[in-house]
Amino acid sequence: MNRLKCLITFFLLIFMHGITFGVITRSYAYTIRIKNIKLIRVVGPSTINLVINTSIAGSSIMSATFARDSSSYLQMTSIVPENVQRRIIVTAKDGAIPTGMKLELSAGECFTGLGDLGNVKISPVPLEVNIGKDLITGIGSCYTGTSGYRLTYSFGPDPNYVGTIMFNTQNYVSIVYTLTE
Amino acid sequence: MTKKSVLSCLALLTFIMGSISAFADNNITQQAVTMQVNGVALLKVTPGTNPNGTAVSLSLSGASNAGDAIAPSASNNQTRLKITSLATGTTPSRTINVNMTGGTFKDSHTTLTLALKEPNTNFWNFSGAGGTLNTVTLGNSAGGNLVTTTTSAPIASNIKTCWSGVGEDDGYVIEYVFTADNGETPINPASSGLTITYTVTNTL
Repeated sequence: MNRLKCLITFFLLIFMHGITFGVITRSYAYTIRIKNIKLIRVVGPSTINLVINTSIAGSSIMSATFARDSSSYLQMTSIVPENVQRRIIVTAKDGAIPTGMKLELSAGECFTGLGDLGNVKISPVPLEVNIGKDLITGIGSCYTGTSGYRLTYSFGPDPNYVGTIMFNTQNYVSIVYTLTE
Repeated sequence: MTKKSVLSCLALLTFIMGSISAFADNNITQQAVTMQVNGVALLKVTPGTNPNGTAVSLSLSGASNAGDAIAPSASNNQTRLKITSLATGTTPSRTINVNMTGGTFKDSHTTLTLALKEPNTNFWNFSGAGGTLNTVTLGNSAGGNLVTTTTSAPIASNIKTCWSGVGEDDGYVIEYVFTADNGETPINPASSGLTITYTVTNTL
C-alpha cells in the first residue's frame, strides 16, 4: 500500500511540476484557401424587346426611332489570383441582327459593391453575331452588390447600311456574357 | 437501415446536389433580345410655300383689261409630298399612286397634269431609293377624267428605303399644270373642284 501511495505521489509531483514550471508547446499547420470565384448573372427581363417605329412622314429613321432598354443589371462576384485581371466578354449568338440595323450594348458604372470593379467601355459596344467583344475590363477581386452594372441595349439603323433595311423583320439573338481572364 | 435504403438516400442526395448545381450562377450568363423593324410607309402633303395651305388654285385668267389675252396655262409647284419609307423584305419597292375625285374635264378644252419633281438635297437616299418620278394627265377635254377613284395612276415607282425630311421645303415637289387645249379659250367658263389622293403601296 505504501508503495502505491509513493507511486501516486510521484506522478502527482511530476504533473504539478509540469503545470507550475513547464510550457507544453504544440504546433498545428493550417492551410487557408480562398477559392477562385467567377460568378455573374443578369437581373432583368428574360427577353428584351426592341421595336423600331416612326409615325411622321418625312422623318428620319436614324435617330428618333432608336429603341432602347435599360432595365437589366449585370451582377458579379470575382476573386482573382494574384496579378490577374478579368474581363467580361459579350457575344451575340443563336440568331441574326436585322439587315441594315445595329445592336449596341453599354454598361454603366457600378455604384454599389466593393473592390476592383474594372472599367466599363465608354462607347457602346456594337454587337456582332459569334464575335466576342469586351464590355468591362480590368476586373479584380470585387463584388457588385445587389445593383450592378446597368445594361443598355440600343437598336437602330446602321448609318452605313440604311438603304438595306427591311421592315417587318423580327430577329432574335441571345446575348451571352462571359467573365474570363 | 438496410443497404437498399442507404443506396436510395445516396441517389436522392446526388439528385438534389445536381439540381442545385444546375441552377447556380457561374461565369457565363445570357439574356434574349428580340429586334423588330415595324412597317413604315408614310405620306403627307404639306403646304410648302403655298399661301392657301395644301389647297391649290389654278385659274386660266389674267385679263384685267378688255382685249387682254387669257392666260393659256396656270401652274403651281409650291406644295410638297413628304415620305418616309422602309423597304420590305418580300416586296422590295413601293409605288405612289394618285386617285382623283371631282373635276369635269369632258369637253372643257382643258388639261390638268400632275408631276412629282425632284426634291431638295435633304431627301435621304433619293438617288438610290427615291423612285422614278412620273407625270400623269389627270383629265382632259377628249378623255374626260382619266384618273378617278377607281382608276389610279402611278406618280412615282421603285421607291425603297428613304425619307424626305420634315422641313417646309422638304419632300417631292408637286407640280400641277392646268392648260387650255391647243391654246384655245376654254368653253363654258366654270369652276371645278377636285381632290387628289396619294397612296403608297407595295409593288407586287
